[in-house]
Amino acid sequence: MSALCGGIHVAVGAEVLDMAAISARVAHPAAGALATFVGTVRDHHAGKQVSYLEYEAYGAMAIRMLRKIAEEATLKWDLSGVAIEHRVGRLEIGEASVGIAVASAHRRESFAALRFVIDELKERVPIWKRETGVDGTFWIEGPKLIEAATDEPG
Amino acid sequence: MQVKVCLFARAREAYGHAEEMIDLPTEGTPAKCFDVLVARSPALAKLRPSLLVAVNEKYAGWDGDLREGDEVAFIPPVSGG
Repeated sequence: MSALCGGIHVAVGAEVLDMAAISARVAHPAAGALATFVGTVRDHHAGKQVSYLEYEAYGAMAIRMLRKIAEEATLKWDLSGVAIEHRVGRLEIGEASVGIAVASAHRRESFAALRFVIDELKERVPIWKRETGVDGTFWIEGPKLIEAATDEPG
Repeated sequence: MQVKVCLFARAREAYGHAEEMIDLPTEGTPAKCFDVLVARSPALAKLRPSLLVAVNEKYAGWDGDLREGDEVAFIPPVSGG
């Protein structure tokens, strides 16, 4: 990995997320702030116990949308770097599903951009989760839970 | 003409396949494409109000013109993060 290069990096894949590596992607000599966000798998949702989650993505479009969000954030807050990685496949409780790092000259911009990136990701990027717990298997569609069949995600 | 259809999450589950090549008349649209899928798998019909369309990996309308070889995706409400 090249040191202190900044810029934009996005990825969607089955590998375990490495937050140190994601943070290193955005390190830059002009940055005085580097903020990170990690989304993790929670053991409950909407009053139901959750055993594990399965994430599915429209990979090529998800990459395209993540890049677009990173570009928008870079322009809006004059960031020196943005890195976003999202996992797919089965994730256990406590595992990281999404890792984001942003770097900017000062902290205010990094905090604002970080929040923007995760909020937009949840709103626009074609990735879905299906949760399994003692009550069954459910697709999560925004605030809704919808009972799923028992096939495997494609 | 032929287009490639991609279905995800609950729509994939309802249809039974993730991808399919579909034959459409020359004036094809995502809406007409969806009608073909519904004819094969009626369970899809009730999902339509919740779905968004993407053509060639970009969000698009239901009534835009499709071209030979386009990739049309039907996208349930997303839940990444």
